[in-house]
Amino acid sequence: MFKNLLRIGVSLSLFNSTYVLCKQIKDEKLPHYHFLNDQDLNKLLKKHQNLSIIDRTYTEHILSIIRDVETDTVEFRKSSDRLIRILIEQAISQIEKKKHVKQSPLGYYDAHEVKFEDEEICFVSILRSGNAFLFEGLKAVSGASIGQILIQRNEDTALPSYLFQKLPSNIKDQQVILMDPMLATGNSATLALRILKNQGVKQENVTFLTLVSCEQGIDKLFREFPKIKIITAQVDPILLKDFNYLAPGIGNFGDRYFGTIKKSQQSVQQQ
Amino acid sequence: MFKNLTKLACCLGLLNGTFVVCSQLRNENGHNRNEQYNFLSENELNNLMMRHKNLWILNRNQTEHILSLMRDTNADIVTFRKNADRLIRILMEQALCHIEKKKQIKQSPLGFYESNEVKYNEEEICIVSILRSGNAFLNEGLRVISGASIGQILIQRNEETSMPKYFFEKLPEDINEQQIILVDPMLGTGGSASMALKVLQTNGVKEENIIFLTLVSCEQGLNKVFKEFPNIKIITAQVDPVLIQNINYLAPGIGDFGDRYFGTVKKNKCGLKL
Repeated sequence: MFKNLLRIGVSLSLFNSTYVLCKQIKDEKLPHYHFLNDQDLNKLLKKHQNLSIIDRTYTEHILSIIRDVETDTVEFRKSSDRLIRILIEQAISQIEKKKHVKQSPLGYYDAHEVKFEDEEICFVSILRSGNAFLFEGLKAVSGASIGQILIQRNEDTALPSYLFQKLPSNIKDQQVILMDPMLATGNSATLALRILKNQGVKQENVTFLTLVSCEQGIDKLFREFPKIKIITAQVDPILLKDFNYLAPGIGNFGDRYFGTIKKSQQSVQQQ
Repeated sequence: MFKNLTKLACCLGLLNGTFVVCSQLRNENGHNRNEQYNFLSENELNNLMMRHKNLWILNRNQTEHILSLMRDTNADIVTFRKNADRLIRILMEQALCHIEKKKQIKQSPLGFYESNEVKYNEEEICIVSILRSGNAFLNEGLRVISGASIGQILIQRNEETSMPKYFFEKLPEDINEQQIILVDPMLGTGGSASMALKVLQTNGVKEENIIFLTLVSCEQGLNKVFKEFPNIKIITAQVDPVLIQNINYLAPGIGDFGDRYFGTVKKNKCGLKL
């Protein structure tokens, strides 16, 4: 009996060590991406005056949770909402303000308030992923108008195709905040901006919000629309050529936020 | 100078008189043009519920005030949204009531009790919205069921032919195993709703697993949907009496819910759209 126990002990330990080795080998196959350092980011900011990148200390923690493949839907939504709220507040801070004098309980003070009414601010979301921004958007500006443009990226050609739009009739007079979580090649965003231009919206009135972007996308947008403002939470170093996904990126934001993909497939999708 | 002043006063008086008479005439015409719609009585609503056993109409006490504020053309966008969200929350909670529960024994601080909890995980519940207006339900939907999956089907009604046109869908892969809550604010002809239900059916969803939520509906729409899909459940906040034939809008209705919730139409046009 002692010999049998010994045999069982040996085979268990062999089993365990092969498992550990295999796990290490599997993990080594995945590439390790490093983020851009502060110098590279500063260079980008100097190249494009209308670009704002949110301070790393605000976004590091939240983005880390969002990027994690193990994060479940509820946690993903909560963290995305926090980040989206930060972006929207930043966008509103850049809208023109006017000065007047108001009265506080103890005396007068100089009031600087946003020049426009709630209804003159329009959130335009690029369906389907951009819709995630609307929940927090309405909490911040409860009277804002909402426009929607449906653009889907053809998975084979990676070219965007326009399907549908519903925009306010007076959009050319409004301050527009265009939203899309990812800015990779910049093709969908360019298509949406052209649609807005056709409706008479001026470039200076457009602010583009995105969670994660890359240099190629930012360059392309600014080349065609130099006067818009872009606010992004982080700039990722790489755009993978074949599937045009950002790396390390967030994967497919729409699928993760709306829960339309099974968790077991999440890690496969991201590569 | 005195004579001039008298002439001026006479002119002003005439001007005022004509204005008052004209506005009265206009009001009379206006009154005749905009009909007064009376809601269905309790009897008629009960008859409807007896005819369709899978139909639930919310209690009038809960919905009267909120719907009244929403129907008002002068409601500004913030009031409209707040009240729409309240009503949607009530509908969502009602929908959750109808999902199967399982019994267990659990422990409270003082002793054991029989617990009846919803049988499914949050991720097994899927809220499918019929874009664009149905998206308004997602706001409150996610607050109630924070882990739910979300599917979207884009169906637009062609304004001239009133026929629904299918554009686009994005549904979870395992939707055939999930409990579906299909949402669309208005149920007029029932055209868009039955198109969406057919899309769900092609994806393998069983009728018994679908609950359809709508704010305002009408008898024709309800009949049509139940004829094609007798096993789904429908929960509506109120049933309006009239479906205006040529434009296929409910009356008194809410107008175009999507335009009013998303603010894509100026306020003074809301009345014209009806």
